[in-house]
Amino acid sequence: MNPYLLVMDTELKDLVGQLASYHPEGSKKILKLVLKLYLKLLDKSKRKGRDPILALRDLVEKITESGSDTAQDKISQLDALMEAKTVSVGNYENTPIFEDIREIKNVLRNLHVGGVGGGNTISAPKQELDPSEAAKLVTLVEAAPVERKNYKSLRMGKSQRKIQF
Amino acid sequence: MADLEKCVAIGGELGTSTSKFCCEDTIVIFSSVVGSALSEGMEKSWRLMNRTADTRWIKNLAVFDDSRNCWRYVGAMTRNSEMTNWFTNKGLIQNYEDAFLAIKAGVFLQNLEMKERGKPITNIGFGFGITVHHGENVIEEFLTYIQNRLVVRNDKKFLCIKAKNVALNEVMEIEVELDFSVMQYQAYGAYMAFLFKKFNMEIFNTYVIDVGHGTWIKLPIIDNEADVNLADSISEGIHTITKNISTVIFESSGQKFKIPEQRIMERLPRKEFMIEVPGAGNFDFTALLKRESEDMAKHIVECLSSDIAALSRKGKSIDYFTVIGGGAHLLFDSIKKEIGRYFSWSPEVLDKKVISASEIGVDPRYINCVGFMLLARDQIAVELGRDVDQKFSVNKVIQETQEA
Repeated sequence: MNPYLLVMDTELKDLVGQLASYHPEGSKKILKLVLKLYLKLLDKSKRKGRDPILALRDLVEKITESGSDTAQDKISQLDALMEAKTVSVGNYENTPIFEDIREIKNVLRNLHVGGVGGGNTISAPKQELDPSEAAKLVTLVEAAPVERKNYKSLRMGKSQRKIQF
Repeated sequence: MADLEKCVAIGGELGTSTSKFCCEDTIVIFSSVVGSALSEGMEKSWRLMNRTADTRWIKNLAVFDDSRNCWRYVGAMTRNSEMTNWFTNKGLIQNYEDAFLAIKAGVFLQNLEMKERGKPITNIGFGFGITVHHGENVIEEFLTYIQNRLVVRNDKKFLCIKAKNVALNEVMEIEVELDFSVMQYQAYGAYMAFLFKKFNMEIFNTYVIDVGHGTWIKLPIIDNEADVNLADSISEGIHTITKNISTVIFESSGQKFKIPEQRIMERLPRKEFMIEVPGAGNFDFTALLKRESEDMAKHIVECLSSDIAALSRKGKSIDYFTVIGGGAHLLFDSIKKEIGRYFSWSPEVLDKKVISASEIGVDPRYINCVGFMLLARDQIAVELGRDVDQKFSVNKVIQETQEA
């Protein structure tokens, strides 16, 4: 199976990190859901022979109005659309993807009011996501060159299997 | 005690099809077959009727067999033998007497060449390849057999060779002092050649695939040592491919005529992929050859991938892969492609990681015996307390068929 890579920007990574430390079970489920949705998108775009990132971008642009420049605007529009769909077409709220999204929202809501399971007070700072910046790649540190053994130093220490005539 | 200052390194490989000997920049290669000689009278008649212009020693060689007290033909000259004996099978020596004659033939022919250059061979240090399956004991037995047949004089051991050029009716006798023989697993020779020339004496883990006529050998060399646990000899080679092609042609031609696989084998180095079947027509086996080569390459890389996994578990990795032997000309590209596919390497990375003997100016068929020569050369240098001379090249190949 080929490995899949999920690239996160710094702020999303921090958010996930905070979730993981304050609510490990919830963060795991959220990550799983995010990955599941991502993989579904990946599969669909591969079948159609498209790059998944471009497919996501095109999908978002197709259903949001032009003029919403920032990612925050787009997210708000998507939210509004989802709410509208939920109200207008009853069957949609039973689809798996809507269930997943509802689950994420519930977890986030619960975290916001003070935690799940036992009344832990979670005073997570509010994070204002601004995904307008492009994701920054991790800076690679070049490894030091491997020090190679030299045959000349080995040959004196170990002799070859030899027959003396 | 031999005078190592005069000792000449010779690399030897007694293969299933051909025996090869490397000395300095010269390779001598002849068929691994010994046969009965004609009687004196028959030889005389043969000389009278022989119209061939090729009167070279390698083409018309007989060596005197002390154990049988008679002449025996070696290599190409066995075309006139009533009975022939291929003395190596799947890399293992089957008949010590005949293999010993091959050693004498190889040393004699190398000495002829060196004599022409004004430096006849007087002392020899051998480098030999051991078969993977059979281990050191088998080759040690053979070398002990040789040792017991050397003439001892003043604590020195001499190999006495009496050889005849049957076409010219010329007999020559020489004697050379044998000092030692060092041994390594077959295919290790190729690693030595790369070590000296490409790796500049730095240790790189190398995976050697040696494709021969009847078998292919895999030998990973890790930290300068052959990994004996992963080394293996598999009964599949060029013969498998040519036999399958011969079978398909037989079936396709309505089972009229069976083409001996040898005829197909002869065409491969000349890149002639058309063969005539009497009464049935011409058959172009290009596509068939491609498919067979790809299938074999896939199988080889499957075995390779298991070894890579085993090495990974020990925290080891391979720096370079190489394909050598008589089958390299046919299979190098297919195996390289499969390796690239397995690792998902880009073409640039693949070109760096999969190396060819031709990169260091040696034919993949001879690279092993060149490496064994370097092994012997290194042993001489070690015993003399010196640095080994890294430089080598192959400038002359003496073989039975003359190049056009």
